Amino acid sequence: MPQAVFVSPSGEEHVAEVPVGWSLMEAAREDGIEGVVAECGGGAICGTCHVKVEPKWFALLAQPQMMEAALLEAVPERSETSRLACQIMMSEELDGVRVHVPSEQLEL
Amino acid sequence: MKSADAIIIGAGHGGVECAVALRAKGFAGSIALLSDEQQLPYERPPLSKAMLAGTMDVERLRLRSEAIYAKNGIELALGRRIDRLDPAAGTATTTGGEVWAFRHCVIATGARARRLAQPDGPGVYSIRSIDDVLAMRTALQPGMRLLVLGGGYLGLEAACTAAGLGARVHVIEQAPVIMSGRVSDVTAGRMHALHLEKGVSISTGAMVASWERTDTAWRALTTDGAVHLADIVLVAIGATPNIEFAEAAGLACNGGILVDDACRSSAPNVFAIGDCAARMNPELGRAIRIESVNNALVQARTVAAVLTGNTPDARKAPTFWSEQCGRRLQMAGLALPGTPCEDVARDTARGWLVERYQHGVLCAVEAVDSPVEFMQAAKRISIQ
Repeated sequence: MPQAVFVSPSGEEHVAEVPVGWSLMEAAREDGIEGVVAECGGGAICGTCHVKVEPKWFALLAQPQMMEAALLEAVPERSETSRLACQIMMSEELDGVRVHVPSEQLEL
Repeated sequence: MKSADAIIIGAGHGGVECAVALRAKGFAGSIALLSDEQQLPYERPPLSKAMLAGTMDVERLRLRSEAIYAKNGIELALGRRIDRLDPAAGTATTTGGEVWAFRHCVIATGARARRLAQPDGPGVYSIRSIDDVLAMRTALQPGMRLLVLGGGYLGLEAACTAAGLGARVHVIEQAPVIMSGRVSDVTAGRMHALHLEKGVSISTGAMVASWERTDTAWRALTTDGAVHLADIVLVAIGATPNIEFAEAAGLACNGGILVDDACRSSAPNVFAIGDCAARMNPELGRAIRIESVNNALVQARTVAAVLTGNTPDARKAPTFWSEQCGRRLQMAGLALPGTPCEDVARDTARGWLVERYQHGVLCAVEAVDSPVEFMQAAKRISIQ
């Protein structure tokens, strides 16, 4: 099964098994990865599953849709390679993808 | 006798979050999480959306993998329904007679679908669990007539999803508008129009006066004089909190288990969170139940903070969301019922935003396909 690596703000690495077709948010939630809140369950509306994708992997991702792009403008610790984990779907090509979890997520 | 320092009754969003948050905040005692279902705990919002549409697997609804409970020292006890609670003795008893002793008890039993005496029988469904939605999805074939009772979030989500599956859908709502009391007339009207575009017909201001069961269908005569034939009826007229055992245990209840700011019930060793808890809302001036994922998570974290000697986060406006007709609707805050709202609406790049003012104070915000505008406006909601 493909794997994704979640790197915590302190540098700790967590390797998650992610079935093809699942989002990285779903994998993070199942594994209880701290810092990925995912309050809306994957609708790209709450912006609480922000991750920073390592550039090599970021280049493989399809462009964010408008709602995600708008939310990414508002998330804390935004970077050039920021994405919402609920919009990153695992594929064979993404096996080994590395993402960094920010120390805070969007809050009201 | 089984025992745990903290038992959590109910393993929905609130129960699971409470168990995990207790551990994350350093709770050192044993934790047991009791569910009356056989499945691993799962999230419910997709049930009336992607699960009904058939585009979501049961596995993907799981809130945590099985291994995570063990790793966090959380004893997950499935298939346990608590029907007796004795706060003074510190025990909870399942319908099967299993007794659980506790130091702290967190009630997170949620709510169940309200049902009517009629219609009842073949082809009548409600949606609260995976089993409910799987049963309805199996029965619902393209071309079938689906009658939805209740034009609230759940009924409308299911209605447009079923229409997308090829069902012929009609919604009956007794209030003059859909999502009555929940959203502004602006949003209700615009969403109503979107439902019509998707092929969902809606009667507002109508109720079913009588039901008749023919050989294969339900026949509903409504107060506006219409007759609706339905192969399937979805009852989506709201929820009843699962608090009977708490009432019998003598906990103070008023439409929900009454809790204070710390989510503590009238018994000092018993807490209640989520859909089953009624907490004082200073803006509305009375104790209310709030049915939303956000509320369940916030209250779960509040209890976890209290039980670990930490300070709970400051109260914020409650938030809600719904997905209908491919549009994403977000709401924050609450409007005082019976008090006029001044609604200020404006269009956004993809949808619209409504700010709702009462007595000149911003009390609620709603947005469609406008998450950033929503966040910005919601931050300005007045919290006492």
